Amino acid sequence: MAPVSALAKYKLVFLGDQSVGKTSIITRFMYDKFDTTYQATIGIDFLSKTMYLEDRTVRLQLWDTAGQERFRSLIPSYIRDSSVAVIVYDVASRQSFLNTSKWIEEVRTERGSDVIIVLVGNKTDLVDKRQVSIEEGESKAREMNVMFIETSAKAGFNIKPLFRKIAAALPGMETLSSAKQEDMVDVNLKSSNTNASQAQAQSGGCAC
Amino acid sequence: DHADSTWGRFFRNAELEKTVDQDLSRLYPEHGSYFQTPGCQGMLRRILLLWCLRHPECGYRQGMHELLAPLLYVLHVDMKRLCEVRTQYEDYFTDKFDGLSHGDNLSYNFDFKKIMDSMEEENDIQENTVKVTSLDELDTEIQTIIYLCDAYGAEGELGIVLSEKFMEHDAYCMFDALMSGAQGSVAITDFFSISPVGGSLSGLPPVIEASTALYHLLSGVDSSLHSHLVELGVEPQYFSLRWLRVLFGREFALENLLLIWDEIFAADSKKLCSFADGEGTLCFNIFSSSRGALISGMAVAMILHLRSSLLATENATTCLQRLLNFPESVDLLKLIEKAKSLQSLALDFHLICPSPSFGVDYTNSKPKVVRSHTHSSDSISSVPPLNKVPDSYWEEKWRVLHKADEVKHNSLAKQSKTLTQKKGWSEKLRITLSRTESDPSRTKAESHKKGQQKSSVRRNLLKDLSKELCLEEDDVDVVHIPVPNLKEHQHAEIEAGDSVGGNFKCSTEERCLGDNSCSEENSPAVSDPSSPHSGANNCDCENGSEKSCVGSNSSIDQNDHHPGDDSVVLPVSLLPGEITLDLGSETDRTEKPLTGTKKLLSSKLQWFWKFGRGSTGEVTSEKGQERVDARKPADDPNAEDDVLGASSADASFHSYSSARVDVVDQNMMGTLKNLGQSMLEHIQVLLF
Repeated sequence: MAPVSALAKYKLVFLGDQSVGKTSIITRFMYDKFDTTYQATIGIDFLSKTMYLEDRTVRLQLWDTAGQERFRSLIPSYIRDSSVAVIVYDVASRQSFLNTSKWIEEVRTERGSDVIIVLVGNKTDLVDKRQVSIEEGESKAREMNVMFIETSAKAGFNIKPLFRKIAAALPGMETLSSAKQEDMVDVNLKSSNTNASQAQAQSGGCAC
Repeated sequence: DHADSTWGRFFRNAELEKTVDQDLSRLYPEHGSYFQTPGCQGMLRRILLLWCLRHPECGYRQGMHELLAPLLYVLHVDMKRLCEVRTQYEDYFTDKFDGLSHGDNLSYNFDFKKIMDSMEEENDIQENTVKVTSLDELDTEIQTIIYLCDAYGAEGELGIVLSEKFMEHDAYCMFDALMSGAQGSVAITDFFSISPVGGSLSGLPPVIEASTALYHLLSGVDSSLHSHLVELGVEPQYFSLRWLRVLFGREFALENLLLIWDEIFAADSKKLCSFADGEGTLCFNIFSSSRGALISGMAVAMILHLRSSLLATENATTCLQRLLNFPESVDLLKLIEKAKSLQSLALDFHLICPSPSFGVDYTNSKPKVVRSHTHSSDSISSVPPLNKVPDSYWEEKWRVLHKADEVKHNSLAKQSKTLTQKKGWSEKLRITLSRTESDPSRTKAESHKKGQQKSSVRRNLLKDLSKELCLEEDDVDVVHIPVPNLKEHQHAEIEAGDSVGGNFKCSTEERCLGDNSCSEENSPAVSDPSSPHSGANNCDCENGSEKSCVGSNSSIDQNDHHPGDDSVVLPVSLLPGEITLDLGSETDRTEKPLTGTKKLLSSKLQWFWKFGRGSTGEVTSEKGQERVDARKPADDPNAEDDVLGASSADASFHSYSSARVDVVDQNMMGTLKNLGQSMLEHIQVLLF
């Protein structure tokens, strides 16, 4: 049973180079649709979605950033209060893959280890144009100690698993300042257990 | 070493091309028919690449392509329209010169010419009163196009202006003018900059400074909404980054966007002087020109439009979602109208209030202004804090205004539409034919007409461009007569070093925004002439009353069209009339506190200037414009007046003229104003 009154809110910030498919991933997740063309994001776009998980309900606040932008001077707080940073690259663009290091670094600088980072290789449908193998992605994720998954927003591949994975890794109910907290304790424990086991599975290279 | 080498450049350019292409390929997918055509994509690409190469300090930033695309679209649509008309009405596009030289259809051409002349001379004559020719049976718009295609007429050949050959070039120039600001104070490149630009007083990146300015303006009109957003942590740049960078391009459908751009480009981007300059005080650059102020006004009007929806949520992301998904069904004219009233408020901030002090609430900065007031006039120590208004006051005001607006709106829209249509032809002709025409209000009126919208965006940008290029005078059709004059005054006043009246910005605001709402409740307190103040204090009072008058004046204009609302406004409109005695005695009184002849001169000048400006406002309102149009010219001098402070002669006179507008015979007023205007022009000549 998900407690309606104690809806946990989490901020997810989407980072990555221009045109790697950040908006497409979000749109696929939000509305389960895909357009071949989304206009370039200017500044930041904001979306939110409630996710109903087995054991709880969470409210995800998605910050979809423009790829070209380095916001730090304009919006210093854009990473600061986010629980999750989703760093996306295009498997058909090596450069976008190389640049993920910079993004990860930026998030670490701001948040240290107090943040969940997911490395996402998008556009797996571009089989012929692939420039970054799944192994490279996995090894980088291991090296940087972040989660990893490959997706295709266009084909609708692995989008839901991506968000389920994120939700499972979210900090548990201990951050909730709700009166219902006591009721949730055992659920909390359960979820953090699955959390840990999943995290291990991921670092082992769970491409689903 | 690689950076400057040929290969380095090569790779950088390749990178640039890739970035540009990535964005262009996904530009306006829903308008695919035009923007995704190879021809359009090619032009956009070349223009952007060239511009970026020529402006390496800026380079390509995401969003630029969306500033360029509407410009190209406007050119394209105009050109397409001309082609259509050409094919459809081929017979009418006779070349007069050829006709004359051949001599076989001389008589026809002779007649044609006569009609042309009479149309030019007597703009007000409706086309159907002119002698019958087959041309008259055509649609007026098509007639205009045909007239404008007269290769040897005053306007030159429209076909050349709208030639496909020059389209790319024109689009580049317009884009460049937009980006670099054409020497005005609004350059869109600034909004893309992530570091402070030169001359910035705040030390903030321009887009952050502008965002702060928006919240500053918002806090002035709706402090509760402002504090709601601040409490939720909704920083202004979260949403204004996009609003400003593409000039609202993402927030409105293209056809609505073009109307908004019309308004924005029609506003002067020239930087207005302020007391803040050179005093080391902070000032929002975006408020320093009427264009920048209109952009801010537009943004704040949009926030206010979402007011109840924003206040209803306690979630920052939801707020931002709403701000960045502006409703499509918005009433655009109403929004623009609101933006304009906020524009004059923003200009007031700039001109009156020298130190908005970043991050400090509007209400907190008030005492500072009062203090500077004290410096300038010695006998002021006993001034009571006339403008102490509780925070809830603005909220109340806004609510009342909002309600009143809603009620009024339908009839207003209907009426203005019919009125505009009635004089459509004569007006259109004047705009299109007369090169020296510079009345901005007419341009505005025109821009409300869908049929004309595209060309006006273009015209306005080309105006900017031509300013920049310093073309010969007859190509620059924007020289705004009062502007140099205004500057003159401000210089004079800066020498006088006086900032009296700053603490009255409150009442201005109240009138601007409180409109015809319950503004009478405060007026007596502000303008009570019986309070035992010193001379300088008297000045203040008159300033205050003058403003209340301007405000009420605008609502009276409005009431001319909507007699139903009289009950609310009339009591206000009477007030200034009571206070304002006859002109002579007012001037006498003012001369007392003023000592230097220079001051006197400037105040007199101001007096005349206002007279002239007043007439602009009058003309507009007589034509049945929306009330903002009438209000804007009326408020502008008002803003300067606050700067000029001590010259209460003009203040009182202005109130005199405004108050009388509805009481005195209109013709009489017109004559007086013409007189005033011509005197003003003479004085200008003498001064220069």
